[in-house]
Amino acid sequence: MISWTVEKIPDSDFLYMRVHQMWVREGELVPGVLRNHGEGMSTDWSRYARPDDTRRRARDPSRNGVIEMGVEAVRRVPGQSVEHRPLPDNRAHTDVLGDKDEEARVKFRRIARWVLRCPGEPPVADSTT
Amino acid sequence: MVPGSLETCHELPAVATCKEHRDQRRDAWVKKYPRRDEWSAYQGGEWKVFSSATRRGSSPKRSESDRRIDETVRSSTWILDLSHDWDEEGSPAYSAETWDRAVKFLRNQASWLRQHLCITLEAPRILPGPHGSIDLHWDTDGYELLVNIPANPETPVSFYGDDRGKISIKGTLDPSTYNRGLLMWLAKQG
Repeated sequence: MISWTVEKIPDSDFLYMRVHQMWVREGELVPGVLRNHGEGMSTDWSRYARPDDTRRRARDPSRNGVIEMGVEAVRRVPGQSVEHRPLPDNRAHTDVLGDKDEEARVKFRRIARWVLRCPGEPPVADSTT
Repeated sequence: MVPGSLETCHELPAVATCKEHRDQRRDAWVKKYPRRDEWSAYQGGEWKVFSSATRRGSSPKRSESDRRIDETVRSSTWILDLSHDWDEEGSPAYSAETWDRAVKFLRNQASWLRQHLCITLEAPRILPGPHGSIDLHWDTDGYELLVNIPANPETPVSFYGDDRGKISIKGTLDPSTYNRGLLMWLAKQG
């Protein structure tokens, strides 16, 4: 089984996170999607993943889009840290640690940008949330 | 928030435009003291207090705020149709009890703002939150406020809001009472 080295993620990189279409209302990200699964919010580091890789990890990729967040901006959200936690089958896997309280969710939503819209979703002029 | 404010409604009634506290029958500005079952009306340049009995026949009209909130409540019932694993990521279903608490909380805040400050609360979006909770989300040009109603009724409601600048508010509250700090912050955003 492959054991990847844990690396330090630079501020200039990005994190990708998949979003199921049910967490999108009228083209906008629902803040509830920005939550922890267990210890952290699961994302992929842009050094080892492309947005489409992140989408393909979903149970049904055809129902998922992908957002990106700048690492520096994520680290500026109070109480949040970024930790590379590679998995045997996903070297890019990264957790955003910290309580996802209302302040964190509001601020994550502001920095999130769509890089892949959910398939079938009508196009939205503004590429932001 | 339209159309009145604390200043225009209660302190300068002669030039105010608050329709919700305007008693058409008396052609006077009114405000209610809920716990005393009394009303006061601004007539002849001064506030006069009288009981609810003397105001019989002038039932308060249903406000635009109530209608907007009714609509947002109605349009949020889809949340109750979500079954376990609705997002293919293991998210749980939402209980009617949690949704009821969210709706009651929203109606209570709107009612307090209307009765005490003559302010119409904008309708938020009622949304699925994390781990079976319900979010109330106000996202306007002037401010953003996120209030989370947890699935566990023993857990306090938590909230964060800001004016997209330097002014923010954050905390927890007991949904069965009024949090004046949050209400006054909401009033100021109008």
